[in-house]
Amino acid sequence: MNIRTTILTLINEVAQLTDCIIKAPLTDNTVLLDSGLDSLGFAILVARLEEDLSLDPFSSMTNAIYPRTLKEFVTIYENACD
Amino acid sequence: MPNVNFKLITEADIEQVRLWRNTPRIQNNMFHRDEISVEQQKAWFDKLAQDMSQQQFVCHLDNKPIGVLNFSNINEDECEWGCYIGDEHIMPGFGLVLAVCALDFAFNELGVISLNAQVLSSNTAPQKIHKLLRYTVNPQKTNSEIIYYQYDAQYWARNRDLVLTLLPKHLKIAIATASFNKGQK
Repeated sequence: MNIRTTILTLINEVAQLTDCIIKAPLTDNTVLLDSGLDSLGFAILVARLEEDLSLDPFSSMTNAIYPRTLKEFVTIYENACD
Repeated sequence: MPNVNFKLITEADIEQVRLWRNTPRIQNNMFHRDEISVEQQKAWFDKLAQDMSQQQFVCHLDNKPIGVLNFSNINEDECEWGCYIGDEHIMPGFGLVLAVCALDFAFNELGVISLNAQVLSSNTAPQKIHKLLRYTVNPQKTNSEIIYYQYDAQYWARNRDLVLTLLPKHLKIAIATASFNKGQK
């Protein structure tokens, strides 16, 4: 499973776990703050991604660039994997 | 490593704060949902300088303003807090950082013995954060529209370390860097 698919799968799992409603089909341009996943959901998502991918890019960023969209979020993980 | 800094709001901040406050995502979760005009914002800020019962901070993440953390109804014993994230480029889960910093500031800097919060019953995101952090719901005040939360200083002193263990590493790092520039009113 590639990183994007893993992230999308986990977003849906975390949304169910935290009673979040994903507002519309997620696309590259979905703004994370408008996605329906809330702060607690994103905290769990990052923790789950560390477990599943052994990646924790937000703890190890030297020049932090924070994501606005789903594409930017995925790219951060893809770059961390390289 | 991220850097989180809270600075007392200045006149230079108020237009950015007004624009954030008027976005539907934030406006819809507020008690007062009317559009705020430039004039209203200026009048609010002018009054704020004389009002010792509230402190309004702009939160900076890596020196970039990203949201607001405010304390109101401040007296010797208690105060109330609220926050919102305005910038869309944000550390995932950052609302939890604001919530922990609010508790730390209220008890360590303001020195109150109780921190209160009011949340619209339709606004589920902060309700989950309050539950995770172990706030108590005040059943006497809570009604169908508004949930009233309370946290006592002694319980935060007891719970803080445990609560932090529940957070992912990047949020713990951000909390550890947090500082407040209180300045002078």
